[in-house]
Amino acid sequence: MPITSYRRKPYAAGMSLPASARAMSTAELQAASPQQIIDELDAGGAILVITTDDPPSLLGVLTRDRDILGEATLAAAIARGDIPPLADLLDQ
Amino acid sequence: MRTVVAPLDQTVQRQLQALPADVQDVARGYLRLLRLDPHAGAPVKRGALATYRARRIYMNAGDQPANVLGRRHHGSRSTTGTDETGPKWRLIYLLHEAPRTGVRVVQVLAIGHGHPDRGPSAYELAERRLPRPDHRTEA
Repeated sequence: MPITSYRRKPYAAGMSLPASARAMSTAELQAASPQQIIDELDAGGAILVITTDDPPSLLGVLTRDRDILGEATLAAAIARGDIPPLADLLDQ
Repeated sequence: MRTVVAPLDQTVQRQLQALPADVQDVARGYLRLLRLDPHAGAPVKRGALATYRARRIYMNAGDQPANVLGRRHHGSRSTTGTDETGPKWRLIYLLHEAPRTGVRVVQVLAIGHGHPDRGPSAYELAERRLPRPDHRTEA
């Protein structure tokens, strides 16, 4: 029976886990360099966005996962009225 | 995944109609091409558009968009208009790839001169169409 051994990073990739993950508050995000955040996310990282309250609440996850980004930007463009609803688009 | 090109909104329609007639025809040809090859445009490398992974097609009068189909140079530069200044015109678009929904949607942000002597460039026009925080989406 073949056995494959993975070191930590390839194992994480194989399990579809983000390459890196950390928590940042909204205030920390505001103060951070946008390009640094983009680079971190484009490298496969994820950031848990938390409030500055004590205890902090989890707002959600910041990601540039290509699939999620595509779904979200499409939904937002439809919600803003920049493009027609999907049903109308697919009727073209 | 099915690919659709969203209808041009009024602003982009006006930009298209403001182009010289021969360039308008070329732009319409590229719009047809995008339905078949939505990755035909080259990624924008800098600025806010790059953070949205916006793409651009370089175009000039006399281009034959159908000839671009299948080439994997991703529209870096069109095949004609190789004068000193290169292709003048740009078609800038977002490609929303939504695999769970099963669609790719091309949203054209701007069509215009890449680097005009006066007035906003196609890039500046495209940046104006990016979402602003006051555009809230409903839950």
